[in-house]
Amino acid sequence: MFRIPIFGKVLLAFFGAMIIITVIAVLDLRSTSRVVQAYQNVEHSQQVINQLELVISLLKDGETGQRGYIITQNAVFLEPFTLAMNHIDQELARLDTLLAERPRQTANVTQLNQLVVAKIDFMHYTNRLVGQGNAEEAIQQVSAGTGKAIMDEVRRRVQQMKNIEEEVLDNFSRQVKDSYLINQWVVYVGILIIASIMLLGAIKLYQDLRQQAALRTDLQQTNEKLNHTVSSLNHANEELQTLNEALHAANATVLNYNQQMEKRSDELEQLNGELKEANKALEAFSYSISHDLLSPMRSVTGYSEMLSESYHAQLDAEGQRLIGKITTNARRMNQLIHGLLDFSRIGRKGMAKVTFSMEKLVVPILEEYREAYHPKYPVDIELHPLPAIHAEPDLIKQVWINLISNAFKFSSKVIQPAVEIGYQDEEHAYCFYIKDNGAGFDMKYAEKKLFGVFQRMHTQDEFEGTGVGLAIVQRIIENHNGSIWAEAAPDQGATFYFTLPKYTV
Amino acid sequence: MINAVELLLVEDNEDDAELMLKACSSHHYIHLKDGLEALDFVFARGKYASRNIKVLPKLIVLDLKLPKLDGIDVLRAIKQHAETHTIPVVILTSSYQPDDVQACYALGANSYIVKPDSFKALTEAAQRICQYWLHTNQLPG
Repeated sequence: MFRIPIFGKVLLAFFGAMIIITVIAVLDLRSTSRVVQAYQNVEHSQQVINQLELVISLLKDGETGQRGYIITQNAVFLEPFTLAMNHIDQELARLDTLLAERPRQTANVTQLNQLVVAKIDFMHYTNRLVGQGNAEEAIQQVSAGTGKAIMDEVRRRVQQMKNIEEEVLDNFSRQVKDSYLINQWVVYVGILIIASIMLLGAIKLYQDLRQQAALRTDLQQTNEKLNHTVSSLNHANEELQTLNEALHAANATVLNYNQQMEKRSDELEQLNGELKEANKALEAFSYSISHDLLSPMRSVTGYSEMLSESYHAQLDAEGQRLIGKITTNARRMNQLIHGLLDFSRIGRKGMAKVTFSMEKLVVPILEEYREAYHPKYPVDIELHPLPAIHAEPDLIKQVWINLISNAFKFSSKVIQPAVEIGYQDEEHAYCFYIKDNGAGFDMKYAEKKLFGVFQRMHTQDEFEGTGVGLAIVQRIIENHNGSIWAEAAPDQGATFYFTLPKYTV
Repeated sequence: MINAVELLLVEDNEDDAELMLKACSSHHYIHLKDGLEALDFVFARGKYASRNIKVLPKLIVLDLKLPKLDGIDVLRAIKQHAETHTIPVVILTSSYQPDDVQACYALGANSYIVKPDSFKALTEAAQRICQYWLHTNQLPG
């Protein structure tokens, strides 16, 4: 991301430098060409000056020849004049050519040509005079100063022309100087700019290089880290492989377990089947008791009663006693059969739980049973408020019937029998209790006998009963996921506790 | 005589039957001891083939536990047939198992009575049954 601007800047700087160099080169080329031009101009001017001096020199040669001829009238002296005159036209023509492109000298050239022609004409005139033998006239003509005046005029004009040439020369040399100076400045400034660009570039480059170096270091570090990570990964991979192997092993174990479980399951299924069979047998047993056992029992009691009533007179005392025994035991047997049927019925009853008031359930039971056991004194009943619970109402009613009738039964022989019912609110359950001040029992024997079927803590003579009531109570409470226990001591009453879980959705 | 039966008692226990028949002796009755025979009688089959099938017993008192064919099967057969399903059937049994009670009413039993434990009570119960179903109650047909 940061490379592109730098690249752009470098390009920009490069192109800037190129432009500046091009400008310098162009300016320098122009300056050089000017110098060359100036040099050519100088040469030209020099040639003009030389040519002017040559013309004057030829005129002087002509004058020398003229004067010598006049003085001596010897034609030999005319030789310089003749030589000069032979060349002068040619040299004048050259001068014309040299000054052809110099507008400032055009007028001067014309004048000079006229003056030269005039001077040559004058010298020809005097020479002709001498040739005619009229030297005196020639001397007079020269002395009159006409020739000198022309010559002076030529000299003045030539000088003027030389001045102009020098002026032109100066002008050029100044121009060259200026151009050179400007050129110099451009070069300096250009170099300065290029140097700045290069410096900036160098700084940028340095920074870039440093950045790159830093990046490289970073990269190296990252690389090292990466290498480290890779080696860690490799390590992890190895561990993973190990784990994988362990997993495979575990899997095998699980499979093994599964097989075992399946085997167990099969076993369980078999057991379940056996249980079902047993249950069926139990049901058949219970059915048989209901249908087959009760009728013979009724016959036994019925006929023994008939015997003791209708044949009372025919029986002696021992016979009557035996008949009485039969009747009593048949009745007892009947009670036991009914107890057994009641107990077996609990397990088959469905658990249709509803929420109901425990207090409203208990009150009528107390009313119904309080006199059933013929207590010596009216029973003092203390009923604390009871909560609403979620349970099977018929079964819970059976629990209270059994517990309340027990409490009344076992306290029926004490003076001032008292029964107390209440509950404790625990975190997840209600703990109900029923307390009486009756016969109680010895806790030593409670564990084995208290809640067992047909197990009793008292003899039939002391208190009647089948030993099924508390077994039924325990079964109902446990079917409700509750628990039941008791605290008692002989002749100090008993307290029964049972818990029922609070209703949770 | 056999066609004029008012009460059909199906009961295998001799003692119970004796008590009940004594209690209902004022009515024309027939006492059968197994379920199959009871159905033969009702549907005029087997040894009762000569019986007039149109003349039906006015009341059937049925025990549940019976030889050959149980009372529940007898009840089902009687209540399934259009000719016989209006005959009142009183179940009289020692069983007070809820399953039995439920099953009998589901099949259309008209009454379910648990046999009392004593002779006296059973005799009284039998008397009350005859009194109610054959006198107090208005029978069909």
